[in-house]
Amino acid sequence: MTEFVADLYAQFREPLIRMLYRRTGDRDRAEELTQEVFARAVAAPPRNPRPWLFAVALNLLREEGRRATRQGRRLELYRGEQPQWTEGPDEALLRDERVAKVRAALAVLSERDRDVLLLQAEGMNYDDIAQASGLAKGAIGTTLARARRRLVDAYRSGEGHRHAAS
Amino acid sequence: MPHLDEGILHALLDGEIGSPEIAGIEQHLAECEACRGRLEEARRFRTEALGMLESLDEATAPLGMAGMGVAESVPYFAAAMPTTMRPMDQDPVFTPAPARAPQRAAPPARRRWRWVAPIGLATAALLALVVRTRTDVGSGAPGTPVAAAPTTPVPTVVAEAPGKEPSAPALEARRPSPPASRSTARKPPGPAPAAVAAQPEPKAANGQVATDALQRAEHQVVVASETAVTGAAAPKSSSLGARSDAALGKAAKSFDREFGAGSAIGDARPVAISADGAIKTLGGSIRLVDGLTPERYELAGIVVRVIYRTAWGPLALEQWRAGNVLAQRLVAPSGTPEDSVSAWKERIR
Repeated sequence: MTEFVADLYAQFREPLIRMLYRRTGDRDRAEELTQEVFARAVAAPPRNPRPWLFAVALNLLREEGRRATRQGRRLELYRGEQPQWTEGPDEALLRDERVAKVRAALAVLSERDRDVLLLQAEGMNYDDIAQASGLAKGAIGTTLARARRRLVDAYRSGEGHRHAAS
Repeated sequence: MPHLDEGILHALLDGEIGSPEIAGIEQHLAECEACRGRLEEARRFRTEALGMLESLDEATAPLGMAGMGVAESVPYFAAAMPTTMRPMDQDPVFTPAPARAPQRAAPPARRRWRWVAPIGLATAALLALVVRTRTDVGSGAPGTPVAAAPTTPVPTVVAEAPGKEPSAPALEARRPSPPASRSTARKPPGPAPAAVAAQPEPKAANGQVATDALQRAEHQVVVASETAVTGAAAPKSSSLGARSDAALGKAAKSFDREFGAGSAIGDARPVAISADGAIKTLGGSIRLVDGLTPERYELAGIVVRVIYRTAWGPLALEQWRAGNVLAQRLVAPSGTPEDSVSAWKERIR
């Protein structure tokens, strides 16, 4: 069983971390969640590992978000406005700004659209995406079409890039 | 035949249409100019969306990531890991794109400060010697400042040379309560008492000043010794520092707008302080986001900021003492997903 999970680890660790990093923007979390995914795979080896691993990863992410929301900490959240750079055209700054803009656009999508988009970007076929997301296979194309259009539109319009959060 | 559904067009582009259906679709496309146009539009959306997602992988690597693989950090997987697995610094996700290579080749900003560590240590040692001498002759009355203490260059060094900060338990170490007058601040985030705003490093007894200076000097040594290990992973520290300043400056203005002119943070220019200085300002304890490494500490009025670097920009955990309450506020950069913010909030200790 250990060898089986080690093989899964070798094959899927990188795609999982990449997907979770794209989803969260937090490498530490991406690593931790990936680790947890494989810990669960050790406990209950999946029969169809690819969609299973990605589904567990996304579920863990959702659970984590819900748990945090339930804990009503005495904490005010304020989102700063997008910084106004005073530096010249520096490549790194431009890249980071683009990344922030993409993340903002991604945040505009519904959770389901975002998940499907990220799963497909990892090269998963529609069958596996359907299994991982719980959607019908016939709905994947439509979901992807909507998600891609919405992402590009949000990016172009800067939607989500300057909003102040609760 | 009706026009092709947009989902069908995307499935076609994704190679998900099987042979029984594809002939009919191709025939329709050959006859329908509108659907050909929509197919091209779908192709553009698909290409652009994928490119956007791939661009996320090019974000600057955070501090301390070099050579740190998941498998290496967890014994079970370290044992089970095939020898073909690569450490994180060879991971395609985190390996910088070729275009970034020249930036990585640039000398890391932190290396420029290597020389400061021995000087800081020497200064602190000298300071400790002076204080001990003064204490030995009975002149170390509590509250008497040591003349040399304010001139120590350590705070600036700590701010400019981000590295491994003391761990959370170390920062939680309790210190003597601040003077009673510091506890009279208004409810959060009330205006800063002018005396506090003008006094970033609270006065302390001679021995305390010497101890703090020595601790800061030891911290510098840690920073300097870390440089060789983590410097390669943080080639953009100077740029990011400037970015952080810009972002937090903007945040400070927004903070001021929200709570009115004269708020604690709005009128005061942030100054860099050490971890010890931050703890003392807050009355002996500080809160941190567990799992993140502070990049630096700042003081703006009575508000202490612990600043972290994230993929979206600088994240600041602001906190200030209001009576017996340690109030806090998380300032996240625009575009941060809700679940990331929630996770950070949950990990505040």
